[in-house]
Amino acid sequence: MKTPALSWVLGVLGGVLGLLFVIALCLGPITLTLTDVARGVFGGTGATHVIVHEIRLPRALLAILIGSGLGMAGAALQALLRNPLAEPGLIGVSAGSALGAVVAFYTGLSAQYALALPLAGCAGAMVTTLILYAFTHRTLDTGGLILAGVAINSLGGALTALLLSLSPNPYATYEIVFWLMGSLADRSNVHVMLVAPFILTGMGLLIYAAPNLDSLVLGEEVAQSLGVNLGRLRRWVIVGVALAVGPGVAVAGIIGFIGLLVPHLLRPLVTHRPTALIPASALGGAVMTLAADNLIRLFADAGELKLGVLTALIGAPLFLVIALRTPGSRS
Amino acid sequence: MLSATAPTRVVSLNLCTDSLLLELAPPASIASLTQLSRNPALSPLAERAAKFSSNHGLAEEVIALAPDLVLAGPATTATTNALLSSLGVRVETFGISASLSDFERDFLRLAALLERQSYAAQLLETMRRNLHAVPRRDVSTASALLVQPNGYVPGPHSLANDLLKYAETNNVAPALGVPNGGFIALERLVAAPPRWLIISAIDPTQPARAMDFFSHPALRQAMRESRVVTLSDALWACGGTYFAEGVEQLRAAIGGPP
Repeated sequence: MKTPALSWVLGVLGGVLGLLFVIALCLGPITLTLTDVARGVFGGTGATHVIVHEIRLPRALLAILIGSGLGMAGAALQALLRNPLAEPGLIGVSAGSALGAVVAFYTGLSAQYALALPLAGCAGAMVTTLILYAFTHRTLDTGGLILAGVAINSLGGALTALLLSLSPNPYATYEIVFWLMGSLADRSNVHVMLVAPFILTGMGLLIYAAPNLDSLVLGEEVAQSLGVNLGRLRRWVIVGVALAVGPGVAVAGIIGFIGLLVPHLLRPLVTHRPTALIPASALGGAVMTLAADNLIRLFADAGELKLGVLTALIGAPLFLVIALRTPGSRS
Repeated sequence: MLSATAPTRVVSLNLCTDSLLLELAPPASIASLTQLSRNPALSPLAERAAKFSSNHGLAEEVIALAPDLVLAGPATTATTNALLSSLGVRVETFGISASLSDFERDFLRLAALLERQSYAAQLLETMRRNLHAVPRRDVSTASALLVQPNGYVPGPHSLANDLLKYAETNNVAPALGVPNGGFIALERLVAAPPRWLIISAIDPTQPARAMDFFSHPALRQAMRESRVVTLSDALWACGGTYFAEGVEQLRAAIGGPP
């Protein structure tokens, strides 16, 4: 099948992302003109500046950062595990990040030391990815990975709920929902600064690992014969995924299915080659996350509907379709 | 003086009925209060509550106490309430007080159940006197917004609204897009900061994401335009004659130097 040139796909996705970004800055309960928004972004004072610069801008930037991290991590995990259903949310990587972040946040550690939050998110993601890899390395079967993911997901969710139930703050119990179904409501530039260096580093690692993942698509033996150091490649990808996913979960909770849907939708356009799919999935993830968040803001005045709920509503049925079409997932 | 027919073993399964019971019942007739009431961040009567045995709202605990009256909220322990009723225990439910007069009505209703009407009337009389004894200051119904964790703002049908009213301020929640109580969009607060911003939170030292709202840079900006007062929400979260104390604190803060 002939596919359009990668640069063409990236160009279109970039254009759509730019448009969604402008919409995100113009959207909100307070009506602002495009001129107000432009002035608010680049300076100025007063309420308009605060609304654009401190409320709408960080929300849009986080949607882009978190979405691109998730899209890219999905594409990379699918290549590494050679499994089209691998997705940070489905296989428990996000649940591990949430658990790590919950520990750092509710013990008060992150209030003392802000970096503890993204770092704990990364650590949680890394531990779960390592566990998964240990499982799936022995049985490279699609169903096995998903089953291990289900177990890790449930365990992570249960431990998160347990810790929050034990918190002395009565609000903590209600926050179980936030951690399991993330949201970008009322996040600030502090959060952007906190996660951006990690997510961008993670994405850099995954881009760097992409050419070797290209060889891995042909099988482990072929990859090794082409000079790929498999052990090193795994470490790169696992650390890259943890950095790209963990900090985002730590500030916005679990936003599921982005890493599954985006590579799946883009594969027919840019081929399954990781060097093409990984960068395209970053842009695609940003587009999808920002579009979903804009949709929520269109309907909810203040943050009650959660972004994670919307992505699951769209993602879960599609997951079912993909799972039924994947060979080896039915046994 | 205990009347011969008044209940002598009363159990409460709800933070707010705990408070009603503590104010009205002779100590000897209180069999158990919720664990929550012992937390000073949640109840102004925590010290008194700590003297009684506590429960977690479970039917088993209640049965073991052999109560002759159980007080509960309508929803939080609904299954327990139904189970207890089916076992022949007398369960009386009290809703959330949506105004000071709601509270007074509930207070008198429990007083009737406990046969303590004249005592209740006395307490209410004292509360009303305290409400009016607080010197009226010339704040000419300034705009005010009471904000709870997560940016929840109480609407016109709430005890908090009466609190603002008695402190001679005007609750601007409906004007800021929250007609019946709910979460306020940070943008609306920034665009039209009220003269008085009343941060009403339980103990903020225990971390929760709900508290992040108060440290958002945009809220900090809005707070520069407003005068900020902090007030424990325990004083108005449940109805009690201590409501007057909440009004007094708020008036003192508002009437004080800017």
